Amino acid sequence: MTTTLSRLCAGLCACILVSACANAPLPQSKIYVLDDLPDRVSNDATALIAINKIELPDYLNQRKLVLRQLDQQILIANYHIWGDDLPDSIRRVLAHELSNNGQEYRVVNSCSACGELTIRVDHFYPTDSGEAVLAGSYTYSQDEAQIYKQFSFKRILREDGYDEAVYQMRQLLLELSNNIAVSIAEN
Amino acid sequence: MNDDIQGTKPEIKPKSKLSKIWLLPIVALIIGLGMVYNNWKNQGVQIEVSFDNAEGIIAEKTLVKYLDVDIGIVNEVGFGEGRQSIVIGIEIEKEMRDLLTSDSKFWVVKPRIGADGISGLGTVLSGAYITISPGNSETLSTQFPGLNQAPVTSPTADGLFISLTSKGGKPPKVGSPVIYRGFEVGKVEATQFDPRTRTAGFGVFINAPYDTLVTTNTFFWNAGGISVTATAEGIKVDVTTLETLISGGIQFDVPEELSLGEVVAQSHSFTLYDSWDSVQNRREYDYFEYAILVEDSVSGLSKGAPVEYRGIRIGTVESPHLAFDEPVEGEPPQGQDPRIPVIVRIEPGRVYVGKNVDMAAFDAIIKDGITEGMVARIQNANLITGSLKVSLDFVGEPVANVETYGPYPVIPSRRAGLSILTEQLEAVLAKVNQLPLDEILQNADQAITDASGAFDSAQSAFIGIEKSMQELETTLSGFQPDSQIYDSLDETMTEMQNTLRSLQPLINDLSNQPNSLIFGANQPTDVEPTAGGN
Repeated sequence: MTTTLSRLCAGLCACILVSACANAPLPQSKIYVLDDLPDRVSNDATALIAINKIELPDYLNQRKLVLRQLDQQILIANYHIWGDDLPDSIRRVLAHELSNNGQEYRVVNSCSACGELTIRVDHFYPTDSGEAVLAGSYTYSQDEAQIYKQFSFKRILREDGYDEAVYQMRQLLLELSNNIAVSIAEN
Repeated sequence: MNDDIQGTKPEIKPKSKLSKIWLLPIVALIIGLGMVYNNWKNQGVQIEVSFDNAEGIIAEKTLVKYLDVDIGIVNEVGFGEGRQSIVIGIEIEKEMRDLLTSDSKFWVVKPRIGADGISGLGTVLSGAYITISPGNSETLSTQFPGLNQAPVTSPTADGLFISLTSKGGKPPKVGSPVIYRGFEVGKVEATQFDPRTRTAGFGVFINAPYDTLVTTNTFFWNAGGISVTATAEGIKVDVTTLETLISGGIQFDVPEELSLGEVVAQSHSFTLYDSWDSVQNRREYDYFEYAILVEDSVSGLSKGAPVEYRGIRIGTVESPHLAFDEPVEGEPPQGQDPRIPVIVRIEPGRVYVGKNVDMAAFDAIIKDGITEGMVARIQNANLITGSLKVSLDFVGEPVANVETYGPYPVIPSRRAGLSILTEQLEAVLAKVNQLPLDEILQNADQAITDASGAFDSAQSAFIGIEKSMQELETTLSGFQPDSQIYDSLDETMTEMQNTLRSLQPLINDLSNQPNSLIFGANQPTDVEPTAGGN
């Protein structure tokens, strides 16, 4: 009797546990990167610029894409993920674009006695209204001179989905790099 | 023509007793007599001048000049009596007779090189000649002694002749200049040495109007050579002129502390001092003598050393010590009294300069000072040369009476500071000699050895500490912001932050639905953005 009862209890627990596996199939996760295919970058420029820091708010400084709704809510996606840390991705994209812009300087991770660029991104996400937004500020310092500028760029999503959003977010970074290049040239 | 000759009778004239041919010799005779008369009338004065030798003198050729004008000629050169001198016969023009006074001087002018330069160069071509310096005498003479060289001073020169006496020093030569404050005002005319008194005498002529500078308070000193004086203010080199440097000279002046005095008469005598310093220090004053019985050594105390009262010179050491063979009357012979008698002169004139001094009163002052405790000490006058001096001061005990040493009153003596210092030093050295230096040195050596060992140990410890510090520095440098370890730590921390950030949603889900870990979270599909314009 006792043996049968214990077996029955074990079987019941097994069923409960197995039932945990009986779920509906999950959606497939998508992983995104902001980097383009690598281009060949000239190394002839002698002027160096270092990107010191890319600052992001906490809700952006994570691997999942976010969507801003009209009611100021931030929806964090579960199945749409950044392939790399977003600050590193933004750093690489800006370095690539700035180095290719006129090729009067090269962007490096660190250097001494050179121009230093610090960027703070406050908004970098698609919105529920069909836009991709990039806003924040950057500081460029060289010798005793310092430039501080705020930026805010928007692009219209042509299609639904995070695919288009990521594409437009990439274009927003290109606009930011052009803005920074102009500021550096004017200095 | 034949008729003229036959009709004329010859006229017979008587023959003259004197032939005309005699006119010629008569005229010649008259002329000759006239010449003889003229010669006799114009004949000069014949004189004789004696010289030591006839160098440069030729009969019928050597001229006699006065002020470079020919006034005579040498007509004979011969020996004098005993052939010890040369007698020269000279014919002087009659008109120049008045130059032949008994004190006129003759000398031969020929090329000479002396301290005052080269003279007589013109005689190199023209030959030597004799010149005259007329005197002032009213009597004429025909015999004169010749001088070997030109006189220093012309006999007719206006000025003052004085004599100087010197006991030593470099003697000036005949012709040496006499200088007053840089100006040559006279010359030395004559020099001589007296073996009896062992003194040198000099005849000096001071030209007018400078002769008024020589007064009773004038002092003369030897100005020849170079004077080098070393004092506390430095080294002073004094050279009067180049001429005095070479041939010597004499200077004179009146010391500042004395009045000018009265102008002296001809042939006044002065003392020639060795230098200006000796004028100051060795001037002769009226004095009275004292004896000092010295217990210290008198080596370095010389005659002429100063006697001072608190730095003021008041006398001179006459005899630094009495000879042992000169016993003083009334005193025990030398050898029984270990003290050395030093005789000093107290010269009040050094204190009361230029004033009349009451010698007796000053003597009484000295004796009163002795009774009140004035003593004499032999002190160093010059540490370099080691010369000594006598110093008087009131550092002794009062005494009742003034002692005497023979005829000399005695100034009590006190040992000088240097001798006392020497005695004390000797006592100290004796004590030092008694110290167990060997033992002390051994202990010191051992202490040094121990200290050296301790120092070596400390040095080793320091080396170890330094090495440890270097290793620590190396280790810490590994943790510098630019070091690999720091970068690794930074990267690790970043990864941890990212991991925690990634776990945040899971933690939130677990906190909301703990069983989602087993049964899975109920995650809806993502809300995706829509295209713009929708």
